[in-house]
Amino acid sequence: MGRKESLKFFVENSKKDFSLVEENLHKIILELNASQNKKLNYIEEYDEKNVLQQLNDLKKNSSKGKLFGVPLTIKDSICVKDLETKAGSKILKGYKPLFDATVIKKAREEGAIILAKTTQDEFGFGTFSTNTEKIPKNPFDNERSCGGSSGSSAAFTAYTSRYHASIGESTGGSIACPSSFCGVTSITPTYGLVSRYGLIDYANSLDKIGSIGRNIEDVALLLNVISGEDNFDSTNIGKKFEIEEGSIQKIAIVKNFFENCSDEVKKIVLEKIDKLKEFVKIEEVELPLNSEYALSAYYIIATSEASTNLAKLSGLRYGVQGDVVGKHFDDYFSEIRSNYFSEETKRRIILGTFTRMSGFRDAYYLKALRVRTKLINEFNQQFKKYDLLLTPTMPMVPPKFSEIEKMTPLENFAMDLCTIPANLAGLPHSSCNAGFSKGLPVGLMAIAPHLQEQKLYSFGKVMELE
Amino acid sequence: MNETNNPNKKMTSVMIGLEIHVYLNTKSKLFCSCSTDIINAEPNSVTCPVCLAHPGSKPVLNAKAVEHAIKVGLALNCKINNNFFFSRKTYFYPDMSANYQITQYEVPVAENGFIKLGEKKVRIRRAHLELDPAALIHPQGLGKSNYSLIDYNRSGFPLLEIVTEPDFSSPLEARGFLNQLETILSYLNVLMPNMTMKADCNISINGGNRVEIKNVSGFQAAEKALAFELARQKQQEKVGNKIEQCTRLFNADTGQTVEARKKETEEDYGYIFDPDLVKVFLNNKQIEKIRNEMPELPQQKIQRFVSEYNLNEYESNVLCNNFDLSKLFEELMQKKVDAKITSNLLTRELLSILNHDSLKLNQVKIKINDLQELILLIKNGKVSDKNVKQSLINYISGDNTPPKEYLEKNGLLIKEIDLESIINNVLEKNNNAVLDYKKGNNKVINFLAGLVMRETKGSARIEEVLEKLKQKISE
Amino acid sequence: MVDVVVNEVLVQKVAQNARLKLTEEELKKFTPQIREIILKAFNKLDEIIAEEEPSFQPIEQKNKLREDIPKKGFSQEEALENVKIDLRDLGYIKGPKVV
Ligand SMILES: [Mg+2]
Ligand SMILES: [Zn+2]
Repeated sequence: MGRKESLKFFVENSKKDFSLVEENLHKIILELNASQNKKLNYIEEYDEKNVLQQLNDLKKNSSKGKLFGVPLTIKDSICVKDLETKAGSKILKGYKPLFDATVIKKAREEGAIILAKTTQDEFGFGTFSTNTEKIPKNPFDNERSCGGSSGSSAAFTAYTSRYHASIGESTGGSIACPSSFCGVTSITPTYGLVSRYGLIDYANSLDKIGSIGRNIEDVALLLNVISGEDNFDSTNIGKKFEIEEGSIQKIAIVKNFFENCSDEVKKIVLEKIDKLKEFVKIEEVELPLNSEYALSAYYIIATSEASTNLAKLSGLRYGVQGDVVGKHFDDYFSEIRSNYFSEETKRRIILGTFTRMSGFRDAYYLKALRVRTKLINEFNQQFKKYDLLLTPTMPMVPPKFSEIEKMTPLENFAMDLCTIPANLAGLPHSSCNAGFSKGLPVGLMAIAPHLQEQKLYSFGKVMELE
Repeated sequence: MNETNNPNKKMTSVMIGLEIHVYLNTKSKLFCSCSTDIINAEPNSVTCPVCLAHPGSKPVLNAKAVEHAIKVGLALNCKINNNFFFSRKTYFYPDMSANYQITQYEVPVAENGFIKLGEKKVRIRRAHLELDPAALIHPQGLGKSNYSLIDYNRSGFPLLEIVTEPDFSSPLEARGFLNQLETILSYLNVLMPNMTMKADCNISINGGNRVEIKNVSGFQAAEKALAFELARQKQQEKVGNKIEQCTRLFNADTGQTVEARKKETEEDYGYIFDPDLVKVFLNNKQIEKIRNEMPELPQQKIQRFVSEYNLNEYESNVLCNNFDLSKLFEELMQKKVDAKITSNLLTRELLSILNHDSLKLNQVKIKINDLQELILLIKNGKVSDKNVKQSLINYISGDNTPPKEYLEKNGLLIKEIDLESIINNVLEKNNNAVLDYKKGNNKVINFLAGLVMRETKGSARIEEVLEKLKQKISE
Repeated sequence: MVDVVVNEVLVQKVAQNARLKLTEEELKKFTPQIREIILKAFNKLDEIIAEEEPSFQPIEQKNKLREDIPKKGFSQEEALENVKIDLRDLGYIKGPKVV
């Protein structure tokens, strides 16, 4: 681990000397293979021939983009043409998309090399990347989780010593959480800033593709490339993130988000914040409605939407397909879905089907959408006074797998209490490393108003001073 | 016949409501850019990630479909909603690629309208946009097939579902409504060619349970299905059976409805807002713009034809209830031909030929000039009714020779000089008959006229022949 | 206040609606978990009044419409590429029966 220079530095040199691209790629492939041999389980799908072909094409390509020669890993739920894409699920085994997601298209246009798909919780359903067949391990301690659901995107970023960045996806905190657990930097952008076309949906009104990297410059560069207009996603905002400084006059920490955090996390985060006070004024606020109701509203909306998205996975046209002859569709669909969805997925489908059932939908689904409006308003109220709001990213250091096993589903949900409010409100947020507690990374999360990613960029730079 | 007039039977009150699905005339599908031109396409060759519901694909709404839906809403006197959106209606079926249909639930494009069916006002509850599922084939027939074959070419076609209140009191009335609806939609030019309307027909009698007949294809079938179901329900009631609320299917071959398989679990659609789509906001200006661009509708045209061309209501109705026919009529009017003769020619001769051959006007080749020539011949008394018809049959279903050319070639035109000499000839050869007539045997004139007609090969007008004969004899 | 009894009957009914066949074991395991989530987490929203307009998405977007211009999509071969070989039938895709 450890390189100080940014991707920008690498790209500039690579444009002059292609051997740097080749060297970096060959070394990262060696590291990737080593991680596989050590059963760290970061890589879901990797096709060396495909990667070397890209390298070859790049060599011949004269249009040298902003990510020229940079190897990217991609969360499995993002479609890459001809690479098996299954969002961590057995039910999509064998599915090879016939198209690139918009973010992949944009990255390729800027000269990036699509290296591999990274492991994740099935469909993003999880906080620890344990809801999948090959469970990835935290690079700082292999007994511990690397976070989820974009777990391996962050873990491989921390693991590799080479120039590299990763495209992750967050519904309720799935970019920030693993960034915190793996000590890397990330920005989860405003909902709609990055096209979701080609993303296998978890919950469409919450899903955001974002960037994970070694430092804020890398993260900003990748976000600059993948954001922007796309006519294939109706919810796309049509703006691009430009790498510019955003003004930060006043910051507040969200006091009540600290309440359920472990002492070690509180300590590290508060120490870091004390240091920041040299540069900027930091006050305290409370978001009482968000800390009380965001989790409930989030899980209702997320499971409602997810349960409809997953209806299409019934053993027809792609993924796992069985023997249809002689079977009534009710039986065939039930058989495939029951056999190939994991327990967690079944639980969430049942919850989401329940919350939108007639007789219940007004009290759960519709109410949650109204509560979302209330919670967004609560944030916006604070953003009239503050440029950024700060909280720990996760309430604890990466837990041991043995600890995770003992958690009930509800306790599991509650781990996302700091990340969910910003995700529910579609607010851009970053996670940067604030320090280490007994060798385990602790993340600090900054939340900015809608479409003010520049403030996160400036804040990240301050975080990385020293 | 009419049960209200039969004192022995108690009156049956019938309530019928319709949910009509019409295909809108767009070039691409409702939420993806796949073409809607699939007539000659191989199965599954007009598809994309969206209409195949491939993971990662997202829908984007077709503006034309929205415009068409608004037009229909306006023509049906509906309120157009300024702000509407789309929902996911989740149900599992092999023809529904995503296992949810994108449709409209809380707020449709248009609602609360009506159309007039004679004196009656039929209320329109709502009209909403939704996508069509794929086509399913059951190789050994619906009941017997061990599997289905799916063709997704049609998956994602734009449908407008028009829902009426249960305002019809007979199957015939429902049929009349469907005919009128089709006329209005063809005036608006919003119907996709070669696609049949489908209807779900709801019927209940005497305030009893509602029975839904699903997915009936075509108007005639809808009327038949309803008539069968009405008779079935009356019969059930007569023998004292309660009519269960149920869904039935219409078998077009047998003309009967059969109960659909009962589900173990009642499907709960669990509607949610489709989070991949965003709301549509229209301002009043946009709606007014569409209103101003609306073509003339049947009712307006019927009145205009009466006042402008001096037609009677009935003729005008017949012309205007067929959009293409009314268009043809007006094209002929531009040529300044006689309105009465034209209307007769189109509504009697032409329509009966088309109906006889089950053809639609847009399926046959007709040139305005050809008809214009024929009308002039009629006006000038140059052709008999019988030969008008014959020339037109040949024109439409025969070798397509223009009527005038056909009449000329076959010597079927009335030539005045010829008629003179033919009459003279006949009179000379039938002196006795002439004498009989003069003595007062009036019937003889018909015998003489028959001879003349035979000589003219039927090309003379009988009235003219009779008149001329009388004139000659009395000379 | 939502009055809901979360028992095995309800969980079974909802699962069937979602085309999930639960084993006896799953049903026994899920029911209390789902009950806990619904009663403790979801029913929490009963505590607050929210008369705001529902946020379908966190940032309201509107009028994303597409011009009606057809574009070439998949060929038949592409449409069938992810379909299992024995479920391809003369260009059609084989599916389960419906009756
Ligand atoms: Mg419908
Ligand atoms: Zn398509």
